[in-house]
Amino acid sequence: MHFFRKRNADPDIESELRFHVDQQIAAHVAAGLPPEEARRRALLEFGGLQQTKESVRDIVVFPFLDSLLRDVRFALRKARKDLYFFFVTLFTLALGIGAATTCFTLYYDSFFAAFPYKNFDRMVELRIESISNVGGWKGRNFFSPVELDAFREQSAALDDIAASESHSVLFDNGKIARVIQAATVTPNFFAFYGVPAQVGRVFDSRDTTSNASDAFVISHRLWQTEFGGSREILGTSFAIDGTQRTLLGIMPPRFSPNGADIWIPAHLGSTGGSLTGRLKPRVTLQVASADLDVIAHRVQKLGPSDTYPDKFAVRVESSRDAAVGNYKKILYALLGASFLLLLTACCNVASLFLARTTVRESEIATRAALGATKAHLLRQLFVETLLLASAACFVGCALTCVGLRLISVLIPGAAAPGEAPLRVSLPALLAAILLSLFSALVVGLSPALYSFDSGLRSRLSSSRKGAHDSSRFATLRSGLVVAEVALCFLLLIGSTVLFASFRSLTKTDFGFDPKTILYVRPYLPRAQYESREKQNAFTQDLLQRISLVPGVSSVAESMLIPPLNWDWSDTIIPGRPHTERWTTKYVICSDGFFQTFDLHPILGRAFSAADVQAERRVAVVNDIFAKVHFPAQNPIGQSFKLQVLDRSFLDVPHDVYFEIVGVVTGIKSRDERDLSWESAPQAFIPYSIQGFSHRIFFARTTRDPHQVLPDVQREVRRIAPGLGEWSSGTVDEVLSDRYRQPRFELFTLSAFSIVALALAAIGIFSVMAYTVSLRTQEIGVRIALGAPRSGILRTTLWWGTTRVLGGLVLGGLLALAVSKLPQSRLIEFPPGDPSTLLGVATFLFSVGLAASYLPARRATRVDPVVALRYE
Amino acid sequence: MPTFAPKGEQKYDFLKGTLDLLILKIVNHGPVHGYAVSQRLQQISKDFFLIPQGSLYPALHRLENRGWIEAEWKLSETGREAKFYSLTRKGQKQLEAEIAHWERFSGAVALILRTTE
Repeated sequence: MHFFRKRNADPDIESELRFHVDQQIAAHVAAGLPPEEARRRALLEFGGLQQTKESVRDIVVFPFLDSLLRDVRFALRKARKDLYFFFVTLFTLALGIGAATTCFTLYYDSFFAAFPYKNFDRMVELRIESISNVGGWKGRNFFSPVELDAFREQSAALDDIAASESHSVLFDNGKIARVIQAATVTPNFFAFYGVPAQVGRVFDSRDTTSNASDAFVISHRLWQTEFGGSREILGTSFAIDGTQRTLLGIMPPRFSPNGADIWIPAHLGSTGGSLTGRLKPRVTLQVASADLDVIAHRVQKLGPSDTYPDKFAVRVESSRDAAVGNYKKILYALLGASFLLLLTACCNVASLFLARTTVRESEIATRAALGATKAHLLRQLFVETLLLASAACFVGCALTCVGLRLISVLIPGAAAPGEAPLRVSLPALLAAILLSLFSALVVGLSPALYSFDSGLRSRLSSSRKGAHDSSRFATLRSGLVVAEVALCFLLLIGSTVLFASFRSLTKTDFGFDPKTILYVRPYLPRAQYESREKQNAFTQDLLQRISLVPGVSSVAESMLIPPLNWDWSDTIIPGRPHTERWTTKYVICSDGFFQTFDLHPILGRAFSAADVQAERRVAVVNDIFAKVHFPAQNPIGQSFKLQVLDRSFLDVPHDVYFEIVGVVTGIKSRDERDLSWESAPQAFIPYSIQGFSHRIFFARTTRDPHQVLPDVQREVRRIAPGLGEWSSGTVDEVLSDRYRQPRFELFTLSAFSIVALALAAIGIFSVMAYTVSLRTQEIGVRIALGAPRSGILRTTLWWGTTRVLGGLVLGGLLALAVSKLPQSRLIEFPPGDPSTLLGVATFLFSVGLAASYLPARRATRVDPVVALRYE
Repeated sequence: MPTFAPKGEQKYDFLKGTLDLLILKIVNHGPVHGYAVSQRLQQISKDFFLIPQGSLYPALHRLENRGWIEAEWKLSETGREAKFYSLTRKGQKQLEAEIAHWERFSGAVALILRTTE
């Protein structure tokens, strides 16, 4: 059968050969033969006209494509004949490819495809940063309107600059008031990002008239959740923080700078906030930084200097880095892990292929003897591999779809940029294809080339004898098993370490039960609660009311939710100059905090309700604070200052020294990034001295907090009807949310290591089974000569055991090397305690042992009569 | 496999590649059709080579596929259309290379025959 045929090849060949025959006839006739005889002889001499025609046609038709098709058919037949082999290799490769493609997609979508903004590569975030090591605050990422104007007018490095001030608003959709994340943005904001509205229109620089500034734009997400995607609402007016505003437009789904859902226009010159700039083409971050630095210092001289750190610089960070900074670590860890998995899969399939190549040597040798060229044989193997690769690519892509769906469910919301699309895209497909090709080439052709290199000729005679033949590949085969075990070990260590740290993170004994403490964070609109007095009155009233709710045993107020959220400050103690940084974690709270969170007094007393009400400048510190700062003195009666409170824009009396009235056991706190117990000095100060609108109310309950919560919420509404709520729940839920990221890392890495483990087991099993099948005759002879079966089992097991041990040693060394890398701190790779490592090693060893035991047992069952029959 | 057959004597395998070399050499002399190639092979080698057409034509087409010779339908000396082959530039180079190779090969064989006498 020929599929690719030159259309006019047949008549051409026909007439060419006809011409030859006719010439021959003519020659014979000229020599005196009668025409009939001449014809007969000519045909005879030509010898098989039809046959010649066929063989010429074989050459004339596209020979390459045609025989390629033949190769494909052959490969398909082979695959059908050895379904087990085909599916094991297919599945293994597909797993590796699927994992790698999934991680690549995740990486690509979060880094490159995530941000659908105009010239995103040139977008930068600005920050004022302290460059002195000691004291003071670290910096700020919000700017005053004066600074914004100065940057806009004077910067030579920036094309354009947009400001957005993030804040929350009370959004009344006509039925219910809800707290929504909003941003007041400069009129050029949407033009800056270069994204038009999906429905309606955005506001722009022309809309600085007073009525346009009453407009607002909402995100696609808010449109869907609040209004079910109805277009009717366009042009309707809504109360936002009590002001009526007209809905102007709805943004497309992936528009989500700073995670806001409502955008409100600001007048030029009236708003500051966080600044996003666009660099002029070919301007580097350093140049921009230097340029803006000069301007900022100029502005500093004009205005109050206390909004700047002592020594500062303007830091310019690319928006991409700013958006995916933290997330990068997981991504790199995942990429690394998936790469390891792909390598394991490749090792596995390579060893399978190697085994089969050896078995097929006689076939190959026969075909070589029958005239197949080396190139043709290689092509044949290549086609077989390619077939596998395309199947693996296909299945791998299917796995990627599943993986991405899984990941989009699991991924911590705050970690991935909101704009990331997370879908199988063209680059992902390309990656999958390249990975399949690459791995197929590596696994399929390297054993083939290896076997070719060792010479084709001697094969025919020796191939079926087996035992001595295997020595040729023994090194490579051993190497593959060792590598596979090593990679698997590495992944297992990684996920074990992660698991251990996750366990210690989630099983932390905080000293109180986070499940029994509920919290409510009401939203205090600035307009209504602008003063400290009003806020304090509200706080006091609400605390009082919550404490009367049935099922509540104690109440507290604080700015942040313990135990993982902290504010910290530099510490100043009178008469104690210091050059190093004295950091104190501080909590601004009510007097009930100590009881609610089980902080036990050690010395002195906790501050009282009376202290709070009188706004006394008293503080309670933890034992570590006392030990660090007053090792030889009685801390009671000493005083200190939290320098952060001196920042001019904070609503607190500045230059306040707090008198220590008591020492308590501190809040035990662990961080997912730092698993050691936090041993920082802690200080607790009364909430009444400050006027921040951040007020979170806690209630310790004696029964299910979820049953108590509605009652607490009702109390909030009773004080202030129509007051919105930020969030509510139990402290345990907050913690659980914080654990989403480590849980995600743990889940993915564990999934990878389980797959790797399965692959390693399959790999060891297959190689062992193959080795045993090669040695069948030898074993038969041994048994016939009286070798004990236990001895056979031992020697066979020995092979597998030593390889697994070698892999464990190599993997251990690799783990050690990885843990030495500076980057490994990113992915939490301490070597862990030795007993865990030993446990993992033992586990992997037993899996390896089991995988080699089954084939080894088969070896002992060899029937010498059957085995020798083939000798 | 074509054989060369000194008449009445033992048959030897045609050395691999030799046929290609001979065809290239003959085609080198100008446009020539298949029949003429076979005739000339016989004439020049004084009937030493008997190339079955079953080998000649596949060989011609193979060489054509490789781009060493090219074919053209022209009127032959008898007034009939025939397929004429001529050497390409690539074929020229190949011919030179094969001649050089053959000379080295036969020289080496001759040397061995001489020295082991």
